[in-house]
Amino acid sequence: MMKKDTLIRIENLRLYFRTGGGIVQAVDEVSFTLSRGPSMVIVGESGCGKTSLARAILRLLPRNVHTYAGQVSLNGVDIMQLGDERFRREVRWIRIALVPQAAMNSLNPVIKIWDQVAEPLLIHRLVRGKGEAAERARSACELVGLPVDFLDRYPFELSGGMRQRAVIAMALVMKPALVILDEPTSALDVLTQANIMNALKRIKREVETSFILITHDIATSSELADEAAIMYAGQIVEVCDAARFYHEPFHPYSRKLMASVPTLREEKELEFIPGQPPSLINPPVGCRFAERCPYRFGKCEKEPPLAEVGAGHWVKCWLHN
Amino acid sequence: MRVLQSLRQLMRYPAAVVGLAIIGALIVVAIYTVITVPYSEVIRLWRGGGELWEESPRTAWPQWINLLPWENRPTTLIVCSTEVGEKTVRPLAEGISEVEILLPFDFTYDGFPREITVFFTAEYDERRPHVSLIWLTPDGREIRVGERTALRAYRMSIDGGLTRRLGGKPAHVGLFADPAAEELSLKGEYTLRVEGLLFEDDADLDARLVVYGQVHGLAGTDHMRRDLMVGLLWGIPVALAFGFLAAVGAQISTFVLAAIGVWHGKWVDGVFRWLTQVNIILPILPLLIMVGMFFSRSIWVILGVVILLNIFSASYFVLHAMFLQIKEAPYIEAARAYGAGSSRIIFRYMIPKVIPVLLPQFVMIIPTFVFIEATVAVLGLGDLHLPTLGKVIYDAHANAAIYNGHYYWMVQPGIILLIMGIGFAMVGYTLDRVFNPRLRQI
Amino acid sequence: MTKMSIPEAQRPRARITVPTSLARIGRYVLVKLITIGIAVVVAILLTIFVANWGGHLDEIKKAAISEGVAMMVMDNEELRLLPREEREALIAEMIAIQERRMGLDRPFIVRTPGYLIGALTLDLGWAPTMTSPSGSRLVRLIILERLPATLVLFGTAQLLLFFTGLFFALFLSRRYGSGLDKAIIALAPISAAPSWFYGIFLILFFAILLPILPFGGMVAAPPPPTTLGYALSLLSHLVLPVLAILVSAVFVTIYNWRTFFLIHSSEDYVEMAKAKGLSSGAIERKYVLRPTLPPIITSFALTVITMWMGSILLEGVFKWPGLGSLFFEAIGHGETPVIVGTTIIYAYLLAVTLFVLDIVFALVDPRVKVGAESRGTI
Repeated sequence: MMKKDTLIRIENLRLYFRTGGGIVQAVDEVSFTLSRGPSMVIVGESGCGKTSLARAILRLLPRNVHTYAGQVSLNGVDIMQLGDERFRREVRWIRIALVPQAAMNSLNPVIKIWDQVAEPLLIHRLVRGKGEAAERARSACELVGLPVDFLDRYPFELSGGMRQRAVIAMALVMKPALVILDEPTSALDVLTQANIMNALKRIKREVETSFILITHDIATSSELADEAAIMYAGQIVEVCDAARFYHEPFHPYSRKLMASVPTLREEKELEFIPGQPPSLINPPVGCRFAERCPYRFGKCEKEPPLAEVGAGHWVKCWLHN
Repeated sequence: MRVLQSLRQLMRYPAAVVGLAIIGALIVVAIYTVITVPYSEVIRLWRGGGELWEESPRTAWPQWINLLPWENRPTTLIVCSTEVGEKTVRPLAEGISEVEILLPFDFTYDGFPREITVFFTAEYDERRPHVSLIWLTPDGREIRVGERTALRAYRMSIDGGLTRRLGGKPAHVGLFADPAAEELSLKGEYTLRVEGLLFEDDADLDARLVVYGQVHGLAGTDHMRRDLMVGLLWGIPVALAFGFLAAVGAQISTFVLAAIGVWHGKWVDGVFRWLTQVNIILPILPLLIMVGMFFSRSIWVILGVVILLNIFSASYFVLHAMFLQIKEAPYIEAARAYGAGSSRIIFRYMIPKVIPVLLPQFVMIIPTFVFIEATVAVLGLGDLHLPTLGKVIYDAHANAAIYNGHYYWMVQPGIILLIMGIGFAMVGYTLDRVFNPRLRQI
Repeated sequence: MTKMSIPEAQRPRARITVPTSLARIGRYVLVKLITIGIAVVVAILLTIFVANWGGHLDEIKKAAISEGVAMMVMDNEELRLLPREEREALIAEMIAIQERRMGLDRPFIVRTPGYLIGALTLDLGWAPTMTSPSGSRLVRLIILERLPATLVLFGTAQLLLFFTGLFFALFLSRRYGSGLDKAIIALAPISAAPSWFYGIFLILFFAILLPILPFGGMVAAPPPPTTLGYALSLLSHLVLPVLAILVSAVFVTIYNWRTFFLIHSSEDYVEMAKAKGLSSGAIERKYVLRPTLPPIITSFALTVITMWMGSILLEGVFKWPGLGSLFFEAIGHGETPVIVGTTIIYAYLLAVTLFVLDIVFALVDPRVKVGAESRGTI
């Protein structure tokens, strides 16, 4: 179902932290758009700022935040302008939900599963009473494939995979417009990973919620994504649809990434990217990938803009600008 | 080295610096005290009695109270005929001589002395010298004090006859009262004139006048006239040693037990855990009291029992968890795999893991033991011979010090104990903050 | 993909399934009861050993025997009228018979179970000189009649300590690094000194130098006739001792519990709660306070034990007519039966306190309800 209206538009989102070593520019002028319907995957290495991006969208700021600015339009409304209390009541979980990294630790150990899954419903008063809340919790669990008798248990009685499903159910129970999943499977073993990915695929077919999947695992993300955004050193360097990304991306970094991942049906020699990503404290001037880029040239000393090079295809590189 | 690095980190906390300074000062005082007043000496001094403290007043305030601008309490004045004063001997008939001793002193204080006593040192064969005492006031009055045989000590203040003659006022008040304003003392130079009669050729007489002050010494005196500095100073090394030894004994034993518990697995560990629960339920203080009452009050016995009752202390659980972590740590296995010897593993891997847990607990538990000893002493079951801070508090409490206005008696040892406890606690808490990894996350 | 159908019986219920949880809690309680019970027995055994080190328990028994025999002879019309020497000889003979009967001539080990059972059933003998407020010389009564005063004092203090500590610790965990936070960290070492210590200073300041509060006792003497007057008098007498207990315990308690809260607020599930849109009050209650309660209960248990041990001297200092000052007086009189008996009662008190806290722990830690391995408070 490809509708063309925009679900969420992010413009120049910035999130900087104050640390002992300096100011970390974790999310630096990130902009992209997601339409209602398709799912997007945000790919990047560890430490490129992906998790901070998720936090920034949901305004989950740590104690040492330095800068938080930009525009996030959800269904046309700039939610960055909302006060904290309104944000809590109207955006968090109702419209945007989060499945965080290592979700098994995201469950309160002394409260039963169903209580936590149904909790947002009761807090935001979307249901009349506990009975209906329990009902919706149950159906959310069905959706993710969590056997209902687990609802009456405590988190420590569930396995890692079960807990992950519980957290996903928790995210879906309010039927939000957008769910951000931060590395949903990286803490799990391969078999459970496969199960969860299957469940996610099924959910995607059955509900109207859009997904943003943040991951460094290129292989598994390919199953779920319709669109892809590549993040490097706190910036989005390419946005395109999944098919193009997995076969013919434009940005040198994206190309290198794809070249480093084995594919099932091709025989290819794997490449690697020499060097390390730059530090997010005092990032280099100009294109941040230039140092490791095999195609760099003189103009790369100036930072390229994220420019549209095709329908829904944006690249941040002088080669294509 | 890691030690220096941790030390530097520790020093960033003012509390640790203050605490270490306190502990350092106390240790210095303790060492100094033990050297200048050795053990046998302090036992002798503290037992008191006899002539040991007879030149000190009873329950006198410390002299530093005179630093307050409105306080000018009399200190103890001692005038001795062999040093100051004049002595003239005049032979009269065969064998009989007259001796006149003048003992002058200046009295410039507010208030009255506590007591007046004259000590006589007489040399004779058979007959004691006879004395007649005259009191000369600054305003020229001569007060006849009395005639008597020169016994060793003439305590003027409890001489009923003298008191009657002074109009119902005891000597230390009556002899000093200003005739114009009887509640105030007259300031100026006083003299005690001793007119003695020696009955033998080789007889001799010396007199020593002691005008007991209301203040005495750096810390005051107690009911047995003992200078409290002896008790307070010696209390410090006793407290430090007790606390340290008890902490060492208790911690080491729990340490060893935890190690054994981890090594030998569930069954042994289960027994130890259960024993620890029993230990926690044991009412330690009452048991200590019973030992003190029925068995022995020696401080070594108390120390021994305290250690015994703390072998299975609650820190067993913490130490056990730590040992378990160490035992199952992958890097230990890795070290063994690449052939590291046991001692290397112990010293390079285990000890650095152990110290962060052990050290803060060790430092923090020292004040607990210091106060256990103090508590036993305050209950009256402390060591019989040794002066400890708790002993001083016990004496103070037993003599109703607070209700009688002798606050210094209770407060001074209390403050020393408090400072000692706080010093160790400060260092202990900062050590905990430096070493506890979970706290650093915040 | 087939949709799973959920039969009626498997619908999740909103409440704890009462029967099984209760059964599990019951089993936990039973295990704890047995453990603590045995611990008390061991503690009492140890007390008996120490007490009889100097043969003192035997003395108590012998004193009881001679007392009993003497009383019996005096009550008997005929025997009372016997001439003095005959009577005394008779008494001595009867005492000897009794002692043999009681086995006082047998080795100590054999008699220990008797003493043990006596202690467990609170048959603690007679006191030679002390009496209870109601005039009895039974050690049991002497002790038990003094118990309420101690419970009033320590119950109040412990409750105040718990809730004040909890409130302020939670409060401070939200204000990490603030001035108040630093103040508490600086004040924590105050706990180095026990409560009786601060008691002395408090008396000095508030009852002697500034005579605004009474310096001892539980109520004014004579006690006020009206209930209100009595209550007020009791309250004014409670202030200083409770304050002494609080001063020596509250700062380190707030410091420790605030540290617990800080550690637990950095857990992932707290962040998750925030993401879910919970208000900060709800987060604090459900996601910070509730999961942290188990270690708090454990820490409180140890604090309470320390408090009980300080109670002896504290009551002595304040002349509070409870167990502690009874112990204090007994030491002064050298009254062995009372000392031994009070020690045993203290062991019981400690055990009961721990047991109560274990039950609270069971209610608070879900691992117990579920039957997972949970150590309980200690």
